[in-house]
Formats: sequence, C-alpha cells, structure tokens
Amino acid sequence: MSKYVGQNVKRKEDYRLLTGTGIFVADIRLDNMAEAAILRSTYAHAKIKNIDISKAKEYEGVIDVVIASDLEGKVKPFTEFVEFTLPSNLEQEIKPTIKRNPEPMLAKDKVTFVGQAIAIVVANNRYLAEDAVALIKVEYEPLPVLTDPYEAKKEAAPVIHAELNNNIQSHFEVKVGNIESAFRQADYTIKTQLKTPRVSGNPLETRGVVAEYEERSSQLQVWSSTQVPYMVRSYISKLVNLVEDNIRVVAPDVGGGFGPKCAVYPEEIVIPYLAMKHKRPVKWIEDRLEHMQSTRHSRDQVHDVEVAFKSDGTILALKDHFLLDNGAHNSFALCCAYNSAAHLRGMYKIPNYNIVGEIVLTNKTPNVPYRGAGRPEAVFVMDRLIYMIADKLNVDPIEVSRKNFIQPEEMPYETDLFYRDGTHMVLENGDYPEGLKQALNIVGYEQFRQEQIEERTKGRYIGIGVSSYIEGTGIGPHEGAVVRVDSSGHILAYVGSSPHGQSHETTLSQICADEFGVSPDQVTVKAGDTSLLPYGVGTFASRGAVTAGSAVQVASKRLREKFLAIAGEMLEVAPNDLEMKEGKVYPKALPSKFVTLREIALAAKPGPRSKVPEGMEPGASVTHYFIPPSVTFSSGFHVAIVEVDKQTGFVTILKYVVIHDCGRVLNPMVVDGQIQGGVAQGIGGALYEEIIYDENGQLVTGTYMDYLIPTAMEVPVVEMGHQEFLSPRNPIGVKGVGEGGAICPPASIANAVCDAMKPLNIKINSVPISPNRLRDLIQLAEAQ
Amino acid sequence: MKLNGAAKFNVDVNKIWDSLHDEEILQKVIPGCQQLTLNENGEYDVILKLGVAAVKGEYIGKVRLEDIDKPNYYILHVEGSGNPGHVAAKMDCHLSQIDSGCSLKWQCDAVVGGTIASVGNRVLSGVAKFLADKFFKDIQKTIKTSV
Repeated sequence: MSKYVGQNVKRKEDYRLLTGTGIFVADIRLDNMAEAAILRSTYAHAKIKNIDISKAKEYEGVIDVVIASDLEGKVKPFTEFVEFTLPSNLEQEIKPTIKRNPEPMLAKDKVTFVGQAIAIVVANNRYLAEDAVALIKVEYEPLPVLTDPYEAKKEAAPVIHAELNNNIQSHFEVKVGNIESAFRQADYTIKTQLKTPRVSGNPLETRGVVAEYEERSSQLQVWSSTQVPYMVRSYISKLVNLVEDNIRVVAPDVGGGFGPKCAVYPEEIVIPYLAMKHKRPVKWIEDRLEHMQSTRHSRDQVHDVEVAFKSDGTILALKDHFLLDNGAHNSFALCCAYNSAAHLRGMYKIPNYNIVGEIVLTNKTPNVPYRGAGRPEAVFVMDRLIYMIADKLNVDPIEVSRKNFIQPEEMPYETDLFYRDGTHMVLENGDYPEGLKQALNIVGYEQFRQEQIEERTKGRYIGIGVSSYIEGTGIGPHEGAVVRVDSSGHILAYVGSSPHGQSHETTLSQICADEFGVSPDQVTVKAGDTSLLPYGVGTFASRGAVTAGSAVQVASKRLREKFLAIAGEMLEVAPNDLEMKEGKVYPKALPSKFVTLREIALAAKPGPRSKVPEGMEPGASVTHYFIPPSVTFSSGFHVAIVEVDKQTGFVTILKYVVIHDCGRVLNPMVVDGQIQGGVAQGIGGALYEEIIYDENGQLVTGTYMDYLIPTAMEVPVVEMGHQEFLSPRNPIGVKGVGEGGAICPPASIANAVCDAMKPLNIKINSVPISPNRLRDLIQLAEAQ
Repeated sequence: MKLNGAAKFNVDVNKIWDSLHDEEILQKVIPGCQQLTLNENGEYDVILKLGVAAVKGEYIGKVRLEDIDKPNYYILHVEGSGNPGHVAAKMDCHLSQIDSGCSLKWQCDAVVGGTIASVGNRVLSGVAKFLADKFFKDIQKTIKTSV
C-alpha cells in the first residue's frame, strides 16, 4: 500500500523557497500600510516614573503612540496560557505550587527585564516610527536587580512581583520508590552540580506581525510568524473581544520557529488592535537586537544532583533539586521544568527517584520551550553522571550504560510517573542496547579506543562521548485534517498544524497519496491558516507528523472509502470489488471500465445527479481530528568524536553519529534533515551559545559577534542510522523527530571532551565548552 | 564596568584643577559635548553626541563635580540617557604635584544599559578608556593654547 511513504520524495516547498518566491511576513505589503516600532526598556528592573510621548506624537508622519494606559479597557491583559496548564490528575499527583504571573502587554508602572516593551509608535513607515521612538522620554527609578536565581530565591531578596510574595514562581516534587533506603544500600554516591545555560532559539526569520481590518465585514486578518496561528487567533478574540470567526490568522512561509514562536506575544495582540483602531494595515517586524532581547529565551537550569550506585555500576537511586532561572514572567506553567523531571532518567532503569523543581523569577527575558524543551538539560545531567560513575569505578562508560538500560523485553515499560498530558508515562517499545550497538559499530568503538591510546602517546587528545535520549512526542490534545477532492479531481489536505521548516506539504501529501493510490503531485497540502479548519493546535514538541500525519491518514482513508462507495453506485459494482489507482476507480476484474476521481467528485455533489449512496452525506470531503491516547516515545543515541587542542582549549568535532528511532520514517531525506539541523543547534549549545547578562541585568550578548551560532563551517555532516519501532499509539506508526537532534549534543560533546582529557580527569559541569573555559579546566587539572 | 587610568600634565596642579572646573574648557574637551550649562544647584546639564561601535546617538544628562579636597581630589558624577541607552558613572580623580607638573589618577565605576550594553559591550571599555585619555590630552592642549 505504501508507495510514497518511506520514499525520498523531493520537498515541494523547496522550489518557491530556493527561487526566492516564498512569502514571509516581512514580504507582505498592503495598500496604505503603516509600520510600527517599539520602545523597549533599557533597565532590567526599574520603576517607570514618567513617560513623555508628546514629542513623538507631534513628529511628522506619526499616526499613534500608545503606552500601557492607552490599552486599558481596550485590550485585556494576558492570562496564563491555558494550553499549558496541568491536567487535574497530574496536579493531584505532584501538588505543585504555580503562581499566576502573565506578562503585561506593555510595561506600565515598572519594567522587569531589558527589552520589555513600553511604547509602540505607529507611523507612515518604519524610519519615521524609529525616529519617533527616539523622541520618547522615559524617566526610570532603578530598582535592585536580580540575575542569580539562588540570590533571587533567598528570603531577604527583593521581590520582583510583589503580589507573588517571593520570587519562587513554581515548585513541584516527583517521587518514585524509596530514595532513602536505596541510598543506604549504595556502595558509592556522587554529588554534583550541572548547569545548562540560557540560550536563544534564533530562527533565521525573526518574529513579525501584519494586521488588516476590513470594516465592511468586521474581518480582521493577521499574518504572524508563529508556530501556533490558532492560539494567536484565540487570544486576539479573548483579549480584544472579537468574534473568533471574524479573525483569520495566517502563518505564511515561516523561517524557523524552534519553540520561541510557540506561544502568543504581546505584539500579536496589540498590532491587530492598532490596525483596527486606525483602520489601516499595520506591520511590525522584529529586528535582530529586539529578538535577542525580547523573544523568549530557554534552558537555564542548574541541577544539584546526587546518584547512588553499586560497585558493579547499577544505579540504585537518583535525587535532584533543580532551579529553572525563568526570567521575569512565566506563562507556561511547568512545561520545560516538568519535561526535565519526566525525562531525566532517560532510557535507564532507576527505580528510586526524587526530583524537586523550582521555577525562579529573575530580571531577565522570560523563558520559553525551545527545541528539546527541558530534555537537553535533563540529558546533560544524566549522561554526565554516567561518565562520572564510570570514572569513579574506573570502567568504560558504555558498560555503565549497558548495565542500566531498560531492556527490550521489559517493554512496554512503566516509568511510575505521569506524563505532562496526565497519562501514565509508559515507554511503548524500542531496543536501547541494540541502538547503542548500532551506533558503536558505525564509529568503530573498539578500534577508536586503540587509536586513542596510540594518539595519546603522540600528544594528540581525541575522545569519544555517547549520549542517549528518549522523548515523549506527538502530544495532544488533538490535530485535525480535512481531506477533499475538488471538482477538478485534485486532492486537498488541510491541516491545523502549520509548518516552519518541517515539510508538511511533502510528507503529508505522501501519506494522502498512498491512501488514494496517486502521486503526491496530485495532492496539495495547505496549512498555517485558521480559515482552513475550525480547530488547530500547532507545530511544536515534535508533534506534526504524529498528530497531523495521523489525521491526514484517517481522513484520507475515510474519503477513499466514501469515493469507492460513490463509484460503486456509478459503476453498479459492489465497493469491495473496486480498485482505486492513479486517479481512477474500476472493477478489479475490468480495469477498462473506470470512473475518474473528478467524475466521482462531481457525483458527490448534492442534487438530483448525486450518486452518493443513501444514508451517506453528500460532498467530497472528510474531516478527522486525531486525538493521541498519549505521547509516543522516540529515542536515540548520539556519539561524538572530538579532538581537543590542549594548548588553546579548542574543540574540533571529528565525527558525529546519530542512531534514532522515530517509528515509521515518512521521508528519510526530511528526517535526516531534521536530525542534521537539530544537531547543529545542539552543537551551538555544547560549544558556542550562551545568553549572558551582566550584574545589572543588561544583556551583553546582543549581537552575533557576542552570541556565537555555529555555521556550516562548524557543523559536521552527521552520519545516521535508523531503528524503526513502529508506534502503536497512532495509525501510521510514527514518532516525533523534530527535536531529537538538539537534545544530546551538549552531553555527547562534553563527554567526548572529558574522555579526550581523561589523563587529566577533567570534569565538565556546564556548557558551552568555550576554549577559555576548557583552558581554565586544563590549567587547573595540570596544577593539581 | 570598572576602569582606571592616569594622565600627566606639565602644568601646576592648581592650574589643572581650575581647568577641570572651567565650564568653557570642559565644553571644548568633553568628547562629543554639544552643550554644557551650569544650573542653579551646581550641576551641569549636558548634551553629548557619541558613537560606540554601531550605536550612535545623543545623550542628555547631568554632570556634577564633588570637590572633596581641593586641589587633590574630586569626584565626577555623570549620568545620561538617550535612545541608545543610559550611562551612570562615578569617577574618582586624584591629582598630585610632581616635578614636571602634575599627575592625575582616575578610577571609574560605570553602569551602562540598553543598546550600548547589548551591542557595544565588547568594545565598550576600550572606547571609554580612549575617550578618557582623549579628554585629558585635550585638557593639556587647551591649556597650552590658552597660555
């Protein structure tokens, strides 16, 4: 049946993107369009004593200048994002403290981070708008600044949001087994602190919004560079008080999202409001400095962890207390933090587990889930611990991994935890020992160990590092698809999950084409437009293929069945005796007597000529919403081989290998591309990227001269292998793959660097492993 | 941001002290100074036009001289803000008579915020040091030409 699923079908998206005919938000130009620029806070924490907008208002070409008080009664403040609130059973289980702390649209009486929006200028063009922004005078009264979460959580610390009483915004604890008795039985324990720094997602395309209001029909059209157009629509409706159906949100071509575009931002509410207010289209495009300052950041966790193990390497227990340095506002409940807690043990069997997570507020840009969303942090902790245990026992880390893996015969494996969606977290299938074996075969592990010894005698430091992950992918609550055949016989599939690089148009057309027995060219996939379906969720959390893919498959299958039924009426043959292939339906016994999809689509129309069987609704369309029973667990292994220049501390990646299981591979080329791209971002996290604030809460990594992003020069071509354990949790057997590539590199590369420097016994407890940091560690080790 | 430096002058310490307190001279030698006016409470209102890396702009602020021990020690307080961000600095200036004239040692503690901090951070201390050196060189030059 599957002719196209599993094939390297070329991406349908590439022609327009590579010929420069893609349309991104910034490319949208409308008649009489005004442009907006935003005044942002230069203080991390300060009272706003006065805002003087008089000069800016008088500036020629300025249409409007709005500050917080202008929005009162017109635009409601954000509530917490209900999409991220916890299911009640999970809430009962872990009894978290979560204080409500949504972000204001515009700062009113005080600013709480550098880059927070204070005023918006709308002018005839961007130049005038920026000039007018420069004329706004804000009088600040600086307040004490908190940049260290440990300082922020102290009782005596200044409180950023007085109504919350302190700076600990959320707190939760997860317990499995009996941690105390397990620690008593241990031969060894290791206690350490591991840190994953704050990073920025940095899609190629920054955020941007264009809005146009048509008064005649009360229609508000919004274009936004977002991962979640339906969520944007819902919040505009709620906060600007509009009939939801009068709003259409379109995410046109989107140049990357990676998580930071996976929730609603103030600009996505206020710009549409301003377009309505002035009855003029308004455009706002974020510049890169705004992006670095204001688009939400991610990671930034510090784990104080202790592990108990036996002398044979068996891990008995793990306890962890971690802080997530959240920045000034959290609207995402426990999203990343709980992901870290649920995934920390990874593919290891650790029967006694206790983890406490605290989300602490500081005067920094708010936190957001970013590719991996809490898992890279967890994997960094777990896989560094594996290497530390191996060091302690003086064995190869591979042996420690093997000793503790969940075995294939133990699948499905009950983790004794709830997942974030409120279901029992059960790993459904997989063969982890085999996956590791496959990865080690590709790198030639034994041979490498030999080579490593020889090279060390020549003064060359090469090392190998392994890391593994599991990831709950394809989270609900749902995703829908409408599949229809138009009157020209062309097949259309509309989905609620919108792409920003995932190749929906290609892979979803493969799924649909296989059901109808046509080529993917005969299927057009449309997404990123709230007018296509009534409900949609979005593309994030490695969910697109699982949720939208399944919806397309089921809807296609049902429409195919309906078409066979209509064709049966047309041909007077029982549907079971019919075959559908290459756009035609014919009796299996008599292929020359066929009707085409076009003819069937016409016969599906209501009216006297309709051939729709009695009892069946007319029409050539089926809608299906796929509701996943729970997440489906993909997994993988990353192996890095690196060389360390001991003199400079510079790390070169010599080889990078990924083995992964994403269930059924819909399109190998697309999956490989996702992994390669994910690894590139992971390498950024391992070696280069770190958002740094000074002690006054000033962002000092505001440009790409200071915030290093790996380029094609630093990213090796990843060698890959696949495991294909089909998911039993959706009809197409897929598991998500979008984030996996980014999850392991900080751990695999840190492990490889430690392995290379093993004679010096260096411990890497934080990333990025910049040359100066590594040189410090080398010097310190040599001095001892 | 903490910076320090030193300058040497081939004139008497009292002469330098006076020059450093002379509104007309200061206006000429403060880098980028567009306007400097003494207001009633003894502070100077100042307008500066400066560029650090790619961040150019106008700053409006105040300068206050706190004389601790004439002619040996004073503190220069500067604060200003503008479109590129804001600066607040406290500069301790110690003067002392030496054989060939006098020397000045300064220590500065500055808080910089906004775009200048985010974009110009790497070059900020270099630029600040350069501007301070230029300020003292220009003082010396001004005194020479006026003598």
